[in-house]
Amino acid sequence: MIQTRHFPSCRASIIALLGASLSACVTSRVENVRENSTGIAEGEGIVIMAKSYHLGNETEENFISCVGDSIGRGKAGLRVVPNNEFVDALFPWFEPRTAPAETKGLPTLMSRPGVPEKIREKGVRYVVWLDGDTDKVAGGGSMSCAAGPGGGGCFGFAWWQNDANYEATVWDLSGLEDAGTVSADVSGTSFLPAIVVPIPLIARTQTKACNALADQLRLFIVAQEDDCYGARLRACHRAPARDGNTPNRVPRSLLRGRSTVRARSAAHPGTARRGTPCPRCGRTARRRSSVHPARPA
Amino acid sequence: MSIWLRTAVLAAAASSVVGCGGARVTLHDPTIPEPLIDRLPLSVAVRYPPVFDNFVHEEQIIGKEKWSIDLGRSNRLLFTQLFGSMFSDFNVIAGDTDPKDLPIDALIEPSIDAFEFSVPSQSQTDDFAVWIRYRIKIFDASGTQIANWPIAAYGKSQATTFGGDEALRRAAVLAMRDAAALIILQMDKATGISKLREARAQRETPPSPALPEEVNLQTTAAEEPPDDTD
Repeated sequence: MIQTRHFPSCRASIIALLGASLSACVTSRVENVRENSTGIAEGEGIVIMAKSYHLGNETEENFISCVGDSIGRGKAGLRVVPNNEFVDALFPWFEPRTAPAETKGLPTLMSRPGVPEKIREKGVRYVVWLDGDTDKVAGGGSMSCAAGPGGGGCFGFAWWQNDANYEATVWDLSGLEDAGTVSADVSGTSFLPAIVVPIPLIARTQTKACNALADQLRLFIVAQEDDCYGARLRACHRAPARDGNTPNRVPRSLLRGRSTVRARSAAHPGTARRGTPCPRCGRTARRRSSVHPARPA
Repeated sequence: MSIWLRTAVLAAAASSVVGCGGARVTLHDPTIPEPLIDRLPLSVAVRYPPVFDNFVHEEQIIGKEKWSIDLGRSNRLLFTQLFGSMFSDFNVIAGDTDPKDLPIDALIEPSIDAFEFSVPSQSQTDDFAVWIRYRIKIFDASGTQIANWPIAAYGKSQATTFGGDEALRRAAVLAMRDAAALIILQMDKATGISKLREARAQRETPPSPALPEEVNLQTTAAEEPPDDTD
């Protein structure tokens, strides 16, 4: 009796362990470029949108919902207004054909009747435009399967590589300006060896890109002046605050970068814009560069 | 081979056969949201063609499946809702009603020039796409045609795990919303419909010696270039 009680959990543990050890390799890189300071107050929210398919964008619908769910999840989650609810409320000004392509179009949009009121009613401070997709960039190997009345099986080996490249552009509707962009490039190779039974070792590139982008977006948006949010992750976590006593701590729950994740961003978001000296170190922040690079893996 | 494994193999084979069979998709009276616009101060009547009450489009993909989409009364509902939000006074009239007997500024006659769609097996993507080409004719109160405006609308939706029916339906609804957005955005600019109120006012003023404005209002909006995005 004792054995039968323990076996299922033991089996499950072994399977989980096996699954974890057999997962395929994924590498990722997350970057952000800040144009203006951000921050979010209570009651304010964001909406995640796909760039228009009229402009050739191919961002998958499930990726958009994944990023929205991920940003809104947990204690540190932001309020995410459902995409279709926002688009319907502002019909027809956020349709694929009519949505502003640049922040230059925001003043015109805000001058339309009922638009500012509706945005205020929905409590949307930031619009995040997603662009990019996941593509299969390489593959090879061969596998053949056969089945008959007496049984079946597969033999062979196949592999393929997926690249997920996404960019999120953040618009601040309160200042009608571009707050910056966050991008995630994730690459993963999946393997499928088969000796009678195929053993899939799937690299979940899109899911990885979704989580990485969502985490970085959340950090990017909640950043306040002189805070370390969004920058350098671990390095920032240790930086002393201005008073020299309490470090500006990034919540541990947000520091989920692994050794394969390299977070690079302009230092001290909010204060260190492109070309301006960083107040803590005296160096100059550059676009897509890192003043305080993430600790090497 | 165990029974469950055989069953699984047979189920997989059956589902793959069904997946190639195409589908018949029906739109169940989709609606558009209330637009955030100011109404044009015009009294407008709309006359729908019979096809707006029952529109079915079928497409046989050579060597593959057959798809059909039944829009039903969707077009009638779309334009009724749209024009009802665009104009201060709006009525739908029957096909045999003479607009000259009505106190209106304009008569609108929408129609469908073409309807097309593509499925993933054609486009080699995960997307279902729908193109609708509408034509909007506008007549003034005396029955003179003042505009003949073709509009091309496009909608795209990705296939879901549960099949293409919902994706094709969604693509069709998005194409209709796209048409509505385009009409809201460009109708006045492309057709000059708002000038008809002034024309009618001038015509109804007895001592006015002014020439009828409608002579100068004749427009034939340029054909929109087809949307090449897929």
